[in-house]
Amino acid sequence: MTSTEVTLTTDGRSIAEMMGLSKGSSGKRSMLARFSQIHSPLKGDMEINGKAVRVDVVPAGAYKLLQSDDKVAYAVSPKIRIYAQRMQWTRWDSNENTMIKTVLVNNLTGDLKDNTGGFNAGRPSGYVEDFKSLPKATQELMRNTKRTKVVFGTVVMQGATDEQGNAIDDASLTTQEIPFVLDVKSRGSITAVDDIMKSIDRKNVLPLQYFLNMGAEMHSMPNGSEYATFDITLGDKVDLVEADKDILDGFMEWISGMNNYINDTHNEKSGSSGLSATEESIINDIIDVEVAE
Amino acid sequence: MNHVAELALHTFLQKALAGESTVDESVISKVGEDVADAVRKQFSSGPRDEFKLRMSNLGRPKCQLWYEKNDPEDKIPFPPHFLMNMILGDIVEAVFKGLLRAAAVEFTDNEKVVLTLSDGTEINGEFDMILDDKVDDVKSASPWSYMHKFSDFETLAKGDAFGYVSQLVGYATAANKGVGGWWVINKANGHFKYVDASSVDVDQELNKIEDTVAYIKEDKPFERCFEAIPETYRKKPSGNLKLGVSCGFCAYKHKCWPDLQTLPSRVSTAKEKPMVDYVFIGDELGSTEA
Repeated sequence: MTSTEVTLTTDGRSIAEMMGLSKGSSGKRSMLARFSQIHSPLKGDMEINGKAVRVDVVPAGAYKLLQSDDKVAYAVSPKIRIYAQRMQWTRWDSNENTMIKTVLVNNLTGDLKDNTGGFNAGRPSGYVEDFKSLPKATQELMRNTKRTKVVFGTVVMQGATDEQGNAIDDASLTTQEIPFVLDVKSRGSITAVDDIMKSIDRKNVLPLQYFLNMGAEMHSMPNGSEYATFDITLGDKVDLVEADKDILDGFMEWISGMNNYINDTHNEKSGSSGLSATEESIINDIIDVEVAE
Repeated sequence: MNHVAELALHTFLQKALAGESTVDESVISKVGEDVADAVRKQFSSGPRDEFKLRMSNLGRPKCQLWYEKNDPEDKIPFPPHFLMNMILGDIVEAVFKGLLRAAAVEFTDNEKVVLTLSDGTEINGEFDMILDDKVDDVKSASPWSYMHKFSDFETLAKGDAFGYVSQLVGYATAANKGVGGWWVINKANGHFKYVDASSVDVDQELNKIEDTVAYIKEDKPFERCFEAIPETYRKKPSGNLKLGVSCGFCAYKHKCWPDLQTLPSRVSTAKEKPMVDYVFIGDELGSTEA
C-alpha cells in the first residue's frame, strides 16, 4: 500500500473561510477555488531565432484552477481527491448574462427549484418520450440545459504554470492540496468520473482515499474544432486523516449554503411569499408573540 | 459522501480493522442497554393492531390509514417474523449509535416529541437522534431497499410507501430542529450511508400531514389513492394490470382489490420469476393458476 501525505494549503485562511460563500452586492460569491478543463490552448509569444512566434503555451485539455480573479494556475496533469459529488441542471442565459442553476442534489429526478423562480432551469420535467415532437424552442432549451455533475475535492497543481506558460514557483500550489469545486458537463467527462468512482468502490475504500491523475482526451468536432474530456487514472492511495473531516464538513456547509441561496432566490423570484425563507422565518418568530389585553 | 459523520465512522472502522482503535466500555454497556430496552419495548407494548395516528404512520397513504382505523379486521395479520424483523432493526440501530459514539460523533439520543397541528391535534413520536442540530432517523434496510429505495432523497420521496419523509419532517418540526436525513444500514452486508433530506419542502410535507390527519379524524368516505398500473415488458404493455409499489406493501390490498391474484410474473423470462400482484389479466398466455 502506498501512503502519500500531502498537506492542505489554506493560504493563511481557515478552511471555513476558504470554502465559504460570501454575500456581495451582486449575489452570493463562492470563496471555493474553481477547477476546470480548458478546451482551447492558450497562445503566447515565444522567440525562436530572433523572431516572435505565436505558440501554444498551455495546451488544450490542461486544467485551470481559479482561486481568485488574480490567482490563476494551469496544470497538464494535476492530481485530485474527490470528497463529494452532486448533480444540478444548469443553463447559460445569454440575454441576462447569468447562469441559471437548480439546487444541488444527488439525483435529477423530480422538480428542482432554480434561481429564476422556476424549476429545472426551464427544462420540462419528467421523461420525454418523443423529443422530436416537442416545439423547436423547447428542444433548443433542453439541449442548452446541461446535466451537470458538481465535484468537490482537493487538487495538487503539480507542474503548474501561469497563462504565459511560465512555471509557478509556489509550493503551496504545486505540492499541497487545495479544495475546489468542479462543474462537469460533457458526457465523456461525467462517464470518466463515474468509471473511476466505480473502480475505487470495488477496492472497498472511500473515493477520497485515492489520488486521481487527471489527463485529457481530445476529440474532433465536425467543424474541425476540438474539445477535451477527462482521462482519469488511479494514483496513490492516501490514509484518512482528521483534516479530511474538516474539509468534508466545509464542502457540506458550502452545498447547504448554496442550496439555501438558490431556494431563497427561487422564493423571491417566484413571489410565493415575497420574502426569502430566512426572512419569513424571522418574521414568523416576531409575529408569534401573544399580547395580553 | 453526504455527511462528515460518515467519514468519521469509516475512519474509525478502518482503524478498528487494523487493531488501532477500540470501543470504550461505557459505549459497549450503552449498546447492551439499548438492545435490552428494544426487546422490552417490542414484547411489552401490547397488541399492535390498535389504530392511532403516530409520527411513524402519518405519511402512509390515506386509504391505508382509513382501513386501519375503520376496518382493522380485514387487515392481513403480521407474520411472526415481523417481530423478529423489528428487533433486528432495533439491534442495528443500537449498534450503529454505539459505533457513532465510539467514533466520537456527538449526537442527542432518541427523545419523545409531540407535533401539534393547526387544529390542535397532537401526534406523538420518538425521533432517533439529533446530529448537527438536525433530526436524523436510523433505518435498517434490505439490500434491495438500500440500493433502490434509499439511493437518494429524490428517489425515496417519489416512492415513499411507508411515509418516511413525513415522519422525518414531523419529528424535526416537533423538535423545532432542522430536517437531517436517514442513516441507512444494509442488513445483509453492513454497508451504511447517509441520505440527506435537507432539500425537502417542509411546508408542503406539513400540509400533507394536516390533510391526512383531517381526512382520518373527520371520518371522510373511503377514497382509494392509487390505480392499478399497466404491466410492461421491454417497454411494451402486456395487457395486464398490476399493483404499484405502495399498494404492494399495503395490508388491505385484498380488501381494496377483490380480484387480486399474486402470481409469478407472466412476462418475466427469469428462471426465478418475481411475484406480481395482478388485478387484471388481459394477456393471452392462458391459465392464471399460480
